[in-house]
Amino acid sequence: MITLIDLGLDPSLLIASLKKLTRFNQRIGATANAHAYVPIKDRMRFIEAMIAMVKGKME
Amino acid sequence: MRQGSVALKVTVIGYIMMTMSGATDREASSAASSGVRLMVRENGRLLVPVAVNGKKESRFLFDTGATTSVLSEKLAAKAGVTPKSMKRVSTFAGAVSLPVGQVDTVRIGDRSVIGIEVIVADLARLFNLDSDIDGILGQDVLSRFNYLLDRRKGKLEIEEGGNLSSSLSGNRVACEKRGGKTLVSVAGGQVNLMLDSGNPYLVVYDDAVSRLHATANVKDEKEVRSSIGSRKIRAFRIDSLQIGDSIKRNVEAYLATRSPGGSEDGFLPLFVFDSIYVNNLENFLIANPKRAWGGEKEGRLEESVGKKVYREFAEIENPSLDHYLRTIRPSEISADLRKQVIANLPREGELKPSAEDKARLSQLQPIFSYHDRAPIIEIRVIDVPQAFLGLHASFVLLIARNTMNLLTAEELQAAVAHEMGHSILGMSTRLRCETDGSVNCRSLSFNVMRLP
Repeated sequence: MITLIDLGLDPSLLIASLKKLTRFNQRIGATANAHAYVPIKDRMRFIEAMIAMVKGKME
Repeated sequence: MRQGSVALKVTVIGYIMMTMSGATDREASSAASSGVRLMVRENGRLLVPVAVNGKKESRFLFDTGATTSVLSEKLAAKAGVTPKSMKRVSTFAGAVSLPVGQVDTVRIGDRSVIGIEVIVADLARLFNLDSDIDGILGQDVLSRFNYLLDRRKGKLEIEEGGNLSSSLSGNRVACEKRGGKTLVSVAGGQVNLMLDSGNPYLVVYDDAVSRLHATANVKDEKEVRSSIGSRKIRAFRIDSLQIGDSIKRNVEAYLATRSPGGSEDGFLPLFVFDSIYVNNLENFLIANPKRAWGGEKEGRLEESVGKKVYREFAEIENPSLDHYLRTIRPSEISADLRKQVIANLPREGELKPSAEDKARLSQLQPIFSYHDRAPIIEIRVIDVPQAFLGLHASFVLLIARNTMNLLTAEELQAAVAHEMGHSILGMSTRLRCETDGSVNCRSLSFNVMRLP
């Protein structure tokens, strides 16, 4: 997020890309290693919180 | 669709509807839940490790649609289970007589059931199961426990008390037990579907379909076959399927003629849920239950890790965020190591980027430059089934063709920046292939297992 914000890119694109990749892999059933990751909803919450915090610091 | 076509080939698990007597003793148990790794096959089938008579664990189909557990002939021989009699068994494709024997113990996780009768059968021939599956774990075992099954996490938690439900939220849907089967009310109680995790299809009997919100135009007819017999099913769509809090729209389902003697209106496979909690003691289920933060160990862990990382960055004084990242950046990779890593990369599955690919990949350069990695990054576009993106050895960026197809150039930048962040922060960037739970690795034609 810091990279994206520093480069003037939209950090919320990370949420869109993670959702797309996760949905695709769920659709084909490639979810067996999903237990190795934090649930997608929690990742989204974390990313959103970090975006707000980093943007706040850089303003 | 890929899942449908695969499932059609291997259908007819055989909804084993025979009710058999069996001892109900069980080993001493604790109230805490026991975690078991769950394998999710591409056709949606769920496999769990089960030990029979104290032998090494074997792969079993987790099948809430089977009232009786089944052992392969090979496993029965290994576990010393000798068939003593024959029983008539009803399956979706017809009835058949099969040998039955006595098992001393069946263990899943740290839960055991003692003294049950099991069917011994050729699983591939009768039930079209893959050759690496050695048994079917049926309701004669499963209905003695409560369990939380999470397909996304590949995890099954089993308990004998009701502790799990206290940490879960979601509407409780009443279930009814009939002849060893678990029936779930849908469409406001209009239709009772049998919970059937061994079934790759949602099947509704002809005479019940009018009670569902269904699109009647039957578009496709298929024949379900096994060595027992065959039945015709016809594809249709259910506009909206609500079970508790879970609402699925435009669900693909199949129509079938009602089986004689069956009290259910069809079969409800578990692929319609991301996760499900089944309480067999109090006869209810929760579809896609939510876990309260801090409600259990894993929830607390995730919360604490998230908060720790957040606090770490929140405490850094602006304008030094960028400086902070530079200070924790990994050291340079030596030329020798780089050469060695590149030489060891597998060649199979590697694709030649098209001109369009190259144009999109060139847009990643600002990301690499930001991380002072532009000169050393190697990009490989690979042909694997899943949408994969990963950084190997901190400088080889592996991008699946599917990932290239799915993401816009900007989304790809964001995802790659995320992967670069893993490298900077020293978080794990290794491909997680250590365990047999990572089915993806085995299906990768680009053999990531060979990565050093």
